[in-house]
Amino acid sequence: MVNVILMLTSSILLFIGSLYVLSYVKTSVEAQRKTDFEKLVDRHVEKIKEEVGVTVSYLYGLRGKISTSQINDSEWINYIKASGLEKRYPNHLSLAYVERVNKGDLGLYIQKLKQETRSVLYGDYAVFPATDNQDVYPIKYLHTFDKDVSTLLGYDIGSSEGLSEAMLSTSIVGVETISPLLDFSKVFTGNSKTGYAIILPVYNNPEVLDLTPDERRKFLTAFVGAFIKPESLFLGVGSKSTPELAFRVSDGDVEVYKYQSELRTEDLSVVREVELLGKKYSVQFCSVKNYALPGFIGNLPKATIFGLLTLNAFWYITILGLIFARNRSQRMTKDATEDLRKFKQAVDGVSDLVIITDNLGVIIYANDAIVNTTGYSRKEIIGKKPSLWGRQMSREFYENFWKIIKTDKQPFVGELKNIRKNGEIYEVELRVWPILDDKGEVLFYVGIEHDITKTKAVERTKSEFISLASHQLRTPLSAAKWFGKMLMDGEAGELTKTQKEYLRKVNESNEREIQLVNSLLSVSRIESGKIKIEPKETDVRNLIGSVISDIEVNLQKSSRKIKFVAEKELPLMLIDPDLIRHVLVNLLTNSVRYTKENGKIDVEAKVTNGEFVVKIADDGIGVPQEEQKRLFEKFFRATNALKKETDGSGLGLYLAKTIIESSGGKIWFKSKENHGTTFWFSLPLK
Amino acid sequence: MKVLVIEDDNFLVNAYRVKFGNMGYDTRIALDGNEALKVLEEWEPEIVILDLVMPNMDGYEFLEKMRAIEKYRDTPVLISSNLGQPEDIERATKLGANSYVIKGNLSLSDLVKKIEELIPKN
Repeated sequence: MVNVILMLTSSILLFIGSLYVLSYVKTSVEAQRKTDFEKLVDRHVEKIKEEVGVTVSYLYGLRGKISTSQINDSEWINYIKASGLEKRYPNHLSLAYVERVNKGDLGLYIQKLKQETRSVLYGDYAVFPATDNQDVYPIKYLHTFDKDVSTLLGYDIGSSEGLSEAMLSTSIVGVETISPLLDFSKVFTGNSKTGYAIILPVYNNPEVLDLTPDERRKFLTAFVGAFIKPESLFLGVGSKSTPELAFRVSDGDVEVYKYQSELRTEDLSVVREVELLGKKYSVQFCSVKNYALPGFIGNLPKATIFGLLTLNAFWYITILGLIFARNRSQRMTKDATEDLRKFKQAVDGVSDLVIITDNLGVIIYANDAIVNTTGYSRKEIIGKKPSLWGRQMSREFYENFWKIIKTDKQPFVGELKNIRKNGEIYEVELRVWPILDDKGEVLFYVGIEHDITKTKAVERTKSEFISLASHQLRTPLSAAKWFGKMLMDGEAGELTKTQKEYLRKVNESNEREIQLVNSLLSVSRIESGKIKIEPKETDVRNLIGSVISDIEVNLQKSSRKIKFVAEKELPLMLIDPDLIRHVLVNLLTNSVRYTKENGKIDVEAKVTNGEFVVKIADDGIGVPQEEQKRLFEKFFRATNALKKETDGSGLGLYLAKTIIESSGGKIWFKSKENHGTTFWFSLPLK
Repeated sequence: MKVLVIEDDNFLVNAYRVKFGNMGYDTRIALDGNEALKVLEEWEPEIVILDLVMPNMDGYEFLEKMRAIEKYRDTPVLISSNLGQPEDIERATKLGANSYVIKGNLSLSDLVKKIEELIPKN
């Protein structure tokens, strides 16, 4: 529970922390962006001022030139060209030289001008005073970026309200002045151009600045001026380098210029008052679309979001994984506990003795059967070693036992004797196996003891019964046999033919009884698991031949014939010759017994498919179809066989099958009633 | 030939007497192991025909005791019993029996042949 709370708390903290970090980064980056933007604006403003400064300094240069020497129009043009101004600021500036002419001297002025100038432009030079002032200010020389205004030569700038205002101002202060926004549409109908003029007075006295404004005016001879379009004034020449900015310039209430306004966003916006030559303009700078910080910092918020999302995702996946694993392990633990409980209940109650020991053999679990069988209480057992009720076998036995389970780490299976608390010995079949860890080290030993005391007792009783039965049943039969044979052999004097005939029947009957007892004993031995296969290298051809000879002795007076065919190269077989002889005798005896007079019996022995196969075929009475499946049953005798021979125990085939199968072989037959029976048995070659 | 027959069954004892008498053997009969040990003290057989299942002292015990007597260590012993399980034969052989027959499976003539196999005539 604590873990879950910890996980949830940490998840929430992580989430809040992530939001905080994100907001911090965003704020920081936003602040940085704003700062960056303002710096950009500042730089731009600086540039505008710088360029105005350049223009002004140029005007000063121009004024200096004009003050020191009289120039004509050619020199004017040459000077401008030489200054490189046009190259630096192509089509940005128009420059003009305006002379102060007394209205009365105007004719002389024009005449003189026409003499001095060479350009065809001056052919039609005329001045039209447009004010009542004493002085007119006609444009004498002009360098223009705009052909439309080239006709301004001779234009009396005093007639322009804006310009005359600037002229007055500059002549008073003696330094450069910028005009209000000029609107040329007022000069030329249909011309919508606007712009500013920067004007500098020209005096014919170098010390004019030390004078009062009124005195200074007396020395005013001319003006030099630059006409500049708002875009050139505010964009600066390096306009290409500020694509991140959009701006609007207001001159008072009038918007005089706007740049990239179609791209502007209100994302970042700053209004600056830009003072140029003493005149203030309000410029609203805005960022353009996708304005971002360069490089990594610009992408920091995105990177942060991505990073935090990844971190969060990773964390939640981990938490989910942990919760899932935890649930699974809880479920597994629960299942395992439940399983263990069931298992313990099951094992507690089983009749076999079950113990679990640690790797040193100290008992950590013992079931009820242990308590019941050994007589020790569980308290006396747990923590002790199983030697508590052991110690009844030889030292070698226990050494071998520990070698198997501890050194070899293999299961041990064996029978041993133990001792109960009351001193009684009991016998068990013991199975012990080690439980190993991943590294193959023994963790536990599990031992199961199956109490075989009773089984052993029963076995002993059975065995004793067989011995007893063998002895008690065979002894009187042996006596009868021995005396019968001695009589037959004439050891008690010669017998008559009839006596011999009767005695032979007595002997035969006695012999049958002996064989029956022998068969019953064999069956008992088989059923008590006491039949032992004792393989020896055996020449099967000889074995079969000898059985056939024994049987043929009894066939002397019969017309039945046994034919034996064997492969030339029969290998020596590893079989129990006594038991296989028993099988052969049984099968051949049956064949002889149930075949007709003049019948024949074929015996074949060969090796096929890695097996040794014996075939015994007769042309006798056969086995009825419906009884065939019962043929190998104990005491079973076919109905037609019973009719033919009342003699027979019904044990022969049962024994044959048991012996063959115990030897790892198979036995089978084919039979048709009144046509004969063929038996086969096979034995493995090795 | 001096034959000691150790057999508790009267009918069989009788049969041995008749057959061995006919064969001209010098035969002594003991009805159990105890009696046989007494016979051995005063009479030294060339061969012992030994039954296994007998009262008082059975054939195994007798065989063990007889083999413990120095002079009877190599005297041929033919077990003639109606026990016939491999473990009976094995046990008797281990205790020093030279041959083993199951009474029910042979005649006394066959048994005599076995004796003659064990004691070849000079």
